[in-house]
Amino acid sequence: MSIEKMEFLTIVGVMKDLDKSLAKCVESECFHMADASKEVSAGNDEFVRIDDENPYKELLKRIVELDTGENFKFHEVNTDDISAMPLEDIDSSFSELECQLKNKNIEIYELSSKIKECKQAMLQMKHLKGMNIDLERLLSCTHIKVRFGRLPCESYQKMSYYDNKTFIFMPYDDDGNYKWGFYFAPIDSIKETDSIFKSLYFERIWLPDFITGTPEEEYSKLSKKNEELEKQKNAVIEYRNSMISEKGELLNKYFCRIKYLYDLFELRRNVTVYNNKFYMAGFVPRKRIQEFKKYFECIESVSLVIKPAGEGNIEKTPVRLKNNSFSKPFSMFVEMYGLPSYNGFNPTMLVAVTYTLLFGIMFGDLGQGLIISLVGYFLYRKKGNLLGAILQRVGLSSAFFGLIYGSVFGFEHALDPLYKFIGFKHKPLEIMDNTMFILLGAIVIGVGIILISIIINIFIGFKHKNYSEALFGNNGIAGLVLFSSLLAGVAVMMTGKGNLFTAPYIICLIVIPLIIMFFREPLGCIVLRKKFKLESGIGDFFASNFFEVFEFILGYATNTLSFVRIGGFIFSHAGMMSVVMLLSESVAKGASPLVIVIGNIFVMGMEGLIVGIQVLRLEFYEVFSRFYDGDGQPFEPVKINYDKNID
Amino acid sequence: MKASKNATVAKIRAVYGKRLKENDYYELSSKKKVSEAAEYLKRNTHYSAALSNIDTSVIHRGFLESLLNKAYYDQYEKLCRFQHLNEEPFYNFLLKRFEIRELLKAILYLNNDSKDVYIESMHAYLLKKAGFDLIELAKASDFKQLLNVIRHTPYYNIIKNIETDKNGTIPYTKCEVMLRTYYMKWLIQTAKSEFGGKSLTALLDQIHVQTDIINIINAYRMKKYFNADAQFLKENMLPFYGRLGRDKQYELFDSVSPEEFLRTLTKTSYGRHMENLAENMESEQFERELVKLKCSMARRALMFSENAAVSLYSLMYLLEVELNNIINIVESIRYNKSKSYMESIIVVQ
Repeated sequence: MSIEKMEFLTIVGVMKDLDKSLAKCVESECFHMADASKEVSAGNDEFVRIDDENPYKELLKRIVELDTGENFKFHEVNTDDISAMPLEDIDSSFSELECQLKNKNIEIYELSSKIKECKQAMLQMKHLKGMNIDLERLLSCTHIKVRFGRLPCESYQKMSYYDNKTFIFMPYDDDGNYKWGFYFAPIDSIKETDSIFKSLYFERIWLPDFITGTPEEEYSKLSKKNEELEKQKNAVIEYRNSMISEKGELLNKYFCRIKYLYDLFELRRNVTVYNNKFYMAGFVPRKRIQEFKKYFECIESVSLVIKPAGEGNIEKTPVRLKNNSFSKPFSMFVEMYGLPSYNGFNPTMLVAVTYTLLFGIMFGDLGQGLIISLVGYFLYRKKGNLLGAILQRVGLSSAFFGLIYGSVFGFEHALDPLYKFIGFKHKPLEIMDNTMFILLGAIVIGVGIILISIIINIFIGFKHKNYSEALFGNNGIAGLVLFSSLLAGVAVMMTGKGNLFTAPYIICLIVIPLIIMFFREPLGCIVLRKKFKLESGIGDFFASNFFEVFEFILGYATNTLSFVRIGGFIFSHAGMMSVVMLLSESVAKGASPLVIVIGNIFVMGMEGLIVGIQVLRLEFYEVFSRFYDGDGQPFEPVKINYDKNID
Repeated sequence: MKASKNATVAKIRAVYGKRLKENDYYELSSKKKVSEAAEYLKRNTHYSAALSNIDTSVIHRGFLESLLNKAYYDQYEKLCRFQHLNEEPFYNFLLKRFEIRELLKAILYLNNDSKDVYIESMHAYLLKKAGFDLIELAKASDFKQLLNVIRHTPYYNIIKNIETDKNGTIPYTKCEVMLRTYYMKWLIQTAKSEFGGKSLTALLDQIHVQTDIINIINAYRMKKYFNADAQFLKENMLPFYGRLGRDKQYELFDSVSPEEFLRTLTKTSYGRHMENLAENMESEQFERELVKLKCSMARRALMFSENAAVSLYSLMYLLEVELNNIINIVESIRYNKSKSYMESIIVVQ
């Protein structure tokens, strides 16, 4: 349950073996590539980066841009049978296929354009219906020109301005936004009229040449023509689809092969060359280093230089979390916040334990917990969703605490016979009768979690030799002493067993830690034997440290009280379920089970979600903020991405 | 007792929340055609309802602009109608401004003998709202006819005594100053009579900044392009001194060159908010900085005021800036301007 140890590798070989070596790196599935120009050749101008244009780009672009319809998707397949095929052969074979498909695509496009034109004319005819005019006669006028189309209603309002002009606009339909109609004008003034209508944003619709009869007749003619065109288009699409189902496998193979070569070539960008030798750098998990070395045994010219990661590499060492099967799904939350640094602390186990516990406490119900666990199980099994695996765990925790609270789907006394059988008089914890106990318990849990977080921060501080943070910070030893003494003092006072706040106690355990925290920066410099420099005057130093220390104290109080929400949600759950029960009693007897079922689903959905979010909030704000940076870089082994998109 | 207008304030804030963000401007300025920009607006912004029945693939730039302008005015009307705000005089501030805008446009086109162009650019959505007949205004072929159209409006008394020259040309600048002065006075008086306390202060503050900005921009343009002297500026600028104060304003007008104008401006409360004002600022950039300043003020008023008038006044200013941004981008797309140019002319809120 830590961070996987890495080895830093430099791979050196002659240029002719570069592609083979890159292929081996991909095949190994455990090589995280670094930029060799930074790692190997930093500051040496004789090392050259490979910036050649990718020779596979053009062909790959042609393949992915080919319109293959909606049903065909590129996917990863084995291409061993065409791996020896020269690029030229793939290109010519693909070109043939491309030509056939393109011809069909052009046919589809042309038919679509005709259909669009036909539909536009149909729309016009639809608006013209009811006008008993012979379109052929109207369109064949020699001294008058007619234009069909639509005019925005806004523009139509301006028509009265043109009363003295020699045109007439005849609207025959109004769809709320446009007036559908036509205007006509003498042939001598049609240019001026066209220009006026253009300025009014008239959208002209061109009627096909074959329009001859009345609008009704033309509409039915166009409708038939449209049907015919649609049929033709469908037939061509069907033919194209049959072509794709016949040749699709081959097309997909070409895609995979070219994508493989393209991605492999792109990996060259991280390689540096000197004197006909290539240099690659990267990281491999320590446990797989022997296996990785074996991949290169067959390439004679290649040699591997291996040293522990973090010793001399310039780029950040990538991080892969090592978790056990219980905590693994919770790494999702950790990654959401950001991975730890390579030398940092893996908090997944802490998150797994605290998240599971807190969720169970806040959402304790035997029946609902088991249901959540079951839903999680199926979600994880069917979809591989990590959230499902988390639900499985928190559901069981919820069921366990439900057993303690004696709650099953909101029935608060359903488990009474079980408790009596075990030997209890009643259920172990009656929520509504133990308000103070629950609220104080919540604070105690919070204090425990905060103390653990501070201790972890002290441990990390010492590990990274950050003594200033570990010793004098608010999350260091000074903070720990101050926080725990304050708590101890308050606890003793509240229990009525005396008063710890005596003068020596206050001076030694409260005032001195406060002073240490106030001067943490200069003290840190003394420990590290560095000279302390005031960045901006002594006044600023005192003012800013005063407010910071004040904020620390305030933070201890608010962060502790923040955990009261744990208790709050216990009551909220019990309260919501009692409402469901009251509702079920107030309806007819037959409807009662339905209300209980719906109520339970609602509570599980809504409250489950809120509790999930609240616990995550506690983890991120109250725990992670004390020791966690989340600035690590994920370990991403090089691989081929069989995706259509090209960078 | 007046009913609370909190619901309108909440609605106004919700409308502001749907404004175009930096990413929207980035996407818009990446478009290669006007139709693509229109499609983006239709699919991804609060203008989608206004463009819902429009075939964006064939849309004309001018038509798109007129639709966006209409959407802007519709938004204003909708908010005014929500709690019957339009029954209170102050809430006519936009309609009144638009009436004056149309009147000035008509005068300009009349002077240029291009009234046919005016009817094309006229916003038809105002036909049924304006206090005078816009079609008749467009038909007016001289100043007398124009005055006849507006005879029953307050604007008549403002400009009735203006004399045309021997060619019949109407002194446009004079009309503009008089009408705008009337508008600003009306705005201030109405605000004073209808509101009080913090709301009045917030409104007056915005109005004063607005007059200051108009005066600064106009004076700078006059100086830069027409070499105008102080006397001319004093006569032709709005007689309001806002935050700037009379002395500072006159000091600006007295500048002998546009460069000195900017140097003097750096010493004012406006100049202090603009970096590198005197050294390397182009005139467009300088105007943009002033608009930014007004925007941040309006935004603050919108966020903190509980008064509907303050919120609406601020919102309409912010939406107007947004509308201008879109129109500028669409125009830049039409004339193949670079993306960096587009980024330089817009004001992102």
